Amino acid sequence: MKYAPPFHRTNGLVPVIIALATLIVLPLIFTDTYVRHILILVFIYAILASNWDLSLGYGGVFNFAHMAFFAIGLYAYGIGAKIIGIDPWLTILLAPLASMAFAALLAAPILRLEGIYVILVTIAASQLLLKIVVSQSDITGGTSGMVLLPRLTIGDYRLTSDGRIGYYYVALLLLAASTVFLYKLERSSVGRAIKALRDNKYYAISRGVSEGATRLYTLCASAVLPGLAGAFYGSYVRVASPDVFGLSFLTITLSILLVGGVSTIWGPIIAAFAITVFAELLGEYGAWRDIIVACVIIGVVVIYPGGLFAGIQELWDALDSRKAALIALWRRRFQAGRRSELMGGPDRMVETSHGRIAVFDNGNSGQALLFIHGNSACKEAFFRQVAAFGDRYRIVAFDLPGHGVSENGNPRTDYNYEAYARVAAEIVEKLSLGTPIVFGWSLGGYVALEYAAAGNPTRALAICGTSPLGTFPDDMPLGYIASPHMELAGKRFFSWYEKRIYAAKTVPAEDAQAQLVRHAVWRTDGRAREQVVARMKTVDWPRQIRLMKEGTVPFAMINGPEDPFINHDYCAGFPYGNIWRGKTQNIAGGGHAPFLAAAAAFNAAFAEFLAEFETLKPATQSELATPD
Amino acid sequence: MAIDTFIFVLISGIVLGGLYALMAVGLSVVWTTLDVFNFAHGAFVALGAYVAWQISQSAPGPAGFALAAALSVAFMFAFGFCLHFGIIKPFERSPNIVLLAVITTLAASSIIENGIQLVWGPREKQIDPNIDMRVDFGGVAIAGIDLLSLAVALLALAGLAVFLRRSATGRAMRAAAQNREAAELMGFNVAFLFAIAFGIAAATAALAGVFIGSLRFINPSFGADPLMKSLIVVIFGGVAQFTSPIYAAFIIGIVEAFSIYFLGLYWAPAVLFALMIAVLMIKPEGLFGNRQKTL
Amino acid sequence: MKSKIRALSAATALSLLLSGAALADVVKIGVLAPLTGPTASDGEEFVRGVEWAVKEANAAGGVAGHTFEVVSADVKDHSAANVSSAVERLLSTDGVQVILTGYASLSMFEVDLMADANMPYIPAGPSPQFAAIVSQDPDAYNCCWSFTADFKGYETDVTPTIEALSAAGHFDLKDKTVAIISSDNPYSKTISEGMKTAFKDAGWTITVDELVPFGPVSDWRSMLAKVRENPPEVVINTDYIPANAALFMNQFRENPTDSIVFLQYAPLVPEFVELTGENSDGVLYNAIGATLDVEAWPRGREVSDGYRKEYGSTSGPYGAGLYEMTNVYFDALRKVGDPTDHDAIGKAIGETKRPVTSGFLEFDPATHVAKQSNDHIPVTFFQLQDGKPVMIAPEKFKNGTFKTPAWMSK
Repeated sequence: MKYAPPFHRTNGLVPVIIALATLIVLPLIFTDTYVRHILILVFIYAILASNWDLSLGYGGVFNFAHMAFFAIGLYAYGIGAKIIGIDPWLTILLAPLASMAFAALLAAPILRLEGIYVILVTIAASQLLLKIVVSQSDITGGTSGMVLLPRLTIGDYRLTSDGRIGYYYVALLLLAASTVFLYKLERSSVGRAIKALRDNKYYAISRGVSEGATRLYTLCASAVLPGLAGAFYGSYVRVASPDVFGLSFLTITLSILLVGGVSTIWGPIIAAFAITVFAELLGEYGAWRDIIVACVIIGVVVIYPGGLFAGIQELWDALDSRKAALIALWRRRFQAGRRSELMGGPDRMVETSHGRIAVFDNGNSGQALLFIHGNSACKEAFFRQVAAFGDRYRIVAFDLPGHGVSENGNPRTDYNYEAYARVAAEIVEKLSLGTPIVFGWSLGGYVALEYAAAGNPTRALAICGTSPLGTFPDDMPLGYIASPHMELAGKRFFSWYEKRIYAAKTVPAEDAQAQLVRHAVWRTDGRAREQVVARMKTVDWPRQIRLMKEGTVPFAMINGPEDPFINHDYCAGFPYGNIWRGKTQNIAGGGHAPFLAAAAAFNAAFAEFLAEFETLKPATQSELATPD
Repeated sequence: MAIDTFIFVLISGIVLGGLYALMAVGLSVVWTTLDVFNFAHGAFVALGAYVAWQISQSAPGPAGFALAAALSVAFMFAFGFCLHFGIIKPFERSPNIVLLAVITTLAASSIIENGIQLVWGPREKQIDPNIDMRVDFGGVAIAGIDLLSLAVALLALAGLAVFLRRSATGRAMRAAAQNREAAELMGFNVAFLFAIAFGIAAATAALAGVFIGSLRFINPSFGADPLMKSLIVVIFGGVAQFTSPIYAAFIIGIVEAFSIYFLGLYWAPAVLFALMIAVLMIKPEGLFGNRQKTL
Repeated sequence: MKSKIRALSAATALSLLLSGAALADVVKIGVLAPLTGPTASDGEEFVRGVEWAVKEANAAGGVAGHTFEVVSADVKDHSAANVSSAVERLLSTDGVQVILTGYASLSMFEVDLMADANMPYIPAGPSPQFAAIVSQDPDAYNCCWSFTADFKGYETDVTPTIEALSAAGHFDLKDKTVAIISSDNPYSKTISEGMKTAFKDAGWTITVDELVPFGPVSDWRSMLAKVRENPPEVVINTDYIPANAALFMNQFRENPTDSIVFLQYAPLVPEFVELTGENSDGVLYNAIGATLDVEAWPRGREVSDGYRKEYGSTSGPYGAGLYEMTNVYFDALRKVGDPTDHDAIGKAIGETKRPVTSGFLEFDPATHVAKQSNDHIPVTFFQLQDGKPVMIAPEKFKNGTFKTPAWMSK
């Protein structure tokens, strides 16, 4: 299932609003027609490049006749509005029909072709079209083109008046419409079919995506806005001349697309601004201008083959984890009191091979209990267990790397199950916890399983909100209920909305005390989420499965029946070797976190579990392997 | 159509074909080995011509012309060899290499073109080969330089064929083109071989440039036309084999000469483009191509 | 998004740069010129012509108390987007009071932008396109005046001139046959169409009538083979691109026919002669607006010599032309005094009556195009003799006589 939140709930919202507001206000600040003219051209380039991306980037169809769509729109405007005499506004709306018709024609010859051949045929097709346009000089004006095309007016108001402000806003509107169109299309089922065909043609075809129809659709859809933009351009510069077929126009647009980043909507738009304004700034340097621009283009593609947008994402990425680290630092320094109050004691930093880890230790001398929290949570999730069992047991809980008030780790080495399990093992060793009873929640459940399966000292093991995966990755869809929110578990950047919804689903307790746990998601390093999910395939799953099937370690599963993520039937049906009380335990009202949301019932059950296993010695575990 | 007219049109077609073959062969060498389409090929032709022009300015006579051609070819080989590391090598492993190479070669073409303008100025120039000989073919006089260009083109292509088929480096290049991974496992330095392929492409382009520059005129942006022509030739012949564009070049040269005669210059390019689309639709691998890619 | 904002701040910087304070008394003269791209050699000449005029005026202490500065904007490949950007750039530059150009776009659409901005504009581009725009409402285009004269003479004058040369006994016209080759651009095509009518009306037979696509032509041989099949008495090629014309000439000389060769415009460009050498000796061509570098027209001589002195090379058609256009503007400014009064400047330009290098300049109020006639801007006919242009017609200005080309039998 594809997670596709509506746009207003993504991280793009704020930047887009700021950019749009800026562009709306900009012409009011710069009354200079030159700046407005350049921006109008920028908008047109942005429309052209971002729509080209639909076929070139998303569709993987190397269509180099894209400029012909624009040219057709332009000439359609010229012929419609000047020669036939249709209302200019209506002509602009009709022009895309002509460009789409050409796109449909173009789809036929390239159907059987791939890669570079498509480039060559489409170049040839647009050259042929150019020939036809130029040869019909009675209508098209031949090489000099058609001049004095009708202006756009609203009533008696000319859009050129007041320093072209009318054209500016129409162009901006077109760009906005184009972007909305692309955004919606990319997320639609057709958009997914287009991408599927690019990524794995034969798989997509076998899943019922028609190659011919989809290519046809891709080309036609990518011709709509260029046609519209071409007609608008005709009404703006008031000339339709064959230079729009030329190689230089194509090169500029292609540079914008590739420098911006293929398969992104925003990349080409950003690059249209960057390249056009940059080239204009260098306007006085003649041949040097073109050399510098070309060098910059090569430089950008060599350094960021994904384009400027990839560069921006990298920057955003660095900022985001820096921000998370700063929040962690702030909380570590200034919110120690709140944590201490909740947990009944302070935490401290412990040096491990995966960075400095915040550990809570109540220092009691009884049997040690080690608590491992889940994805985007923190050790304080277990404050109700600290309160209930703190007097009898030594309770230790820690924040995973990149979580809580621990430090951020290195995404390549520190954000995976093995590393998390090693952190747990090092804490057990450094704090001399002996043979602890380990409790793992959700992602922490896998950490606990990995910890025990790796042969670390474990008296007993309890997991919660974690589905045992018989076969990885095949059982992923069985062990969990498919929901859009599953996608969030491995998503790097959370929008404000996503943070809220994720916290609400995973921490089903709304009381003031649990607030600190819900806020943990605001601090979590997004790379930790991304990496731990991405690296799931490197985990030694069979070892974990063996552990559960063979039952060498006493094992309990305590879930909330309302848990929105795990498939209870799957959990219950798993062939455990030695599960506590012979089956999975359910705590009513617990949701994904029964120890927090239904603490009383959970603690009662957990107390029994602890009582049963706390006195065991590891050596006797195998003798007890067969349940009574 | 009188017999002397026929001979004349045929000969001009063959001379054109020789030039086209020289232009297109570099494009097809790059395409078969590196899997990219080099849009800077036209600019290579132009740069080669300008380098030769510069040398021929200080070395008069037919010997000077030969020296200019040789030095220009050598220079362009080195130029292409180095350029490969700047604009193609960085994307070697990228799945997007076809597109990325399109834009870097286009950008390189713009750099070369504008560089030429800065160094040599925008005005038209001609390389003077100092060959005033004329040869009579059934009452039709053909300029010596035309025949020389044809002869040199054929010699160069034959030399290239021998290099690719017989020499160790040439065989290694073909191996790398056919199966890059296997060639690497055999211990070939594939990046080096690819750079050589790029260098050879630039060198043949230079040779084409020298002759275009002496048969016609050169200006900084004159490479666009040879690029288009080579493109048609390469598609027509298919890029699967190094030799197929050569046959195609002669066919296209002759077809073009006759279609100019019969249809006029106006529609001749359109005929070629339409023919090219038809070939691609019916036999995408080109007239002389097969599905298997071999250099 | 971040980069978008950065780009915008760059745009801010850009506009600040452009609106930066201009010196109060300096009038900026905008020049639209192809500084890069295939026609950059012409662009260089545009700027040189204007710079020379400005240098002279400034050295003389300015005009009406104003000194001048040249601002050029690159129209690159003459595409609509590039031309309109260049125009907007100049229009938005503080202190630009007039815009001059050799040619900016082939369609002359920029005239309209100038009219909208009421900016005095003197182009030397194709006059038919200019006239088509202006004649719709001449009063609305008070700003714009075409330095290029009416092209009608190109169409009508070739036939009588050739016939007159024959009548003078230079060569025989037995069956009056002509081969006409043209290029598919408005300039060449309009002229060749007009010539065809003129030749037909005079009773000629057109043996070859061919159109080639606009752009570089790589080979003329097949076309020449066609011409040769039925050797005409006159061969005309109106493709004005110098390299095309030069190649045509060279390839024609490989197997020449016994014909007069007339080429449109190209032989005017110095490199045509350079590229063809002896091959072009004897070729005929004509020009409207060419520098009249002859004794009979002192102004032409004076400016040509001046240009040679200034730049060390002979001016092509644009160097001297742009120099004169700048002087036309100076005259208008002298008359009006206030460079910002564009209405008055436009009117003053329109009233110009003065000798320029190409003849006597006077504008037609109906089309705003310079008048063409032997008393205004004449159609001058030249023949290349020993690599030098010799004016052989009209009678009034000529400085030489026709010589039978080497390839023709006497």
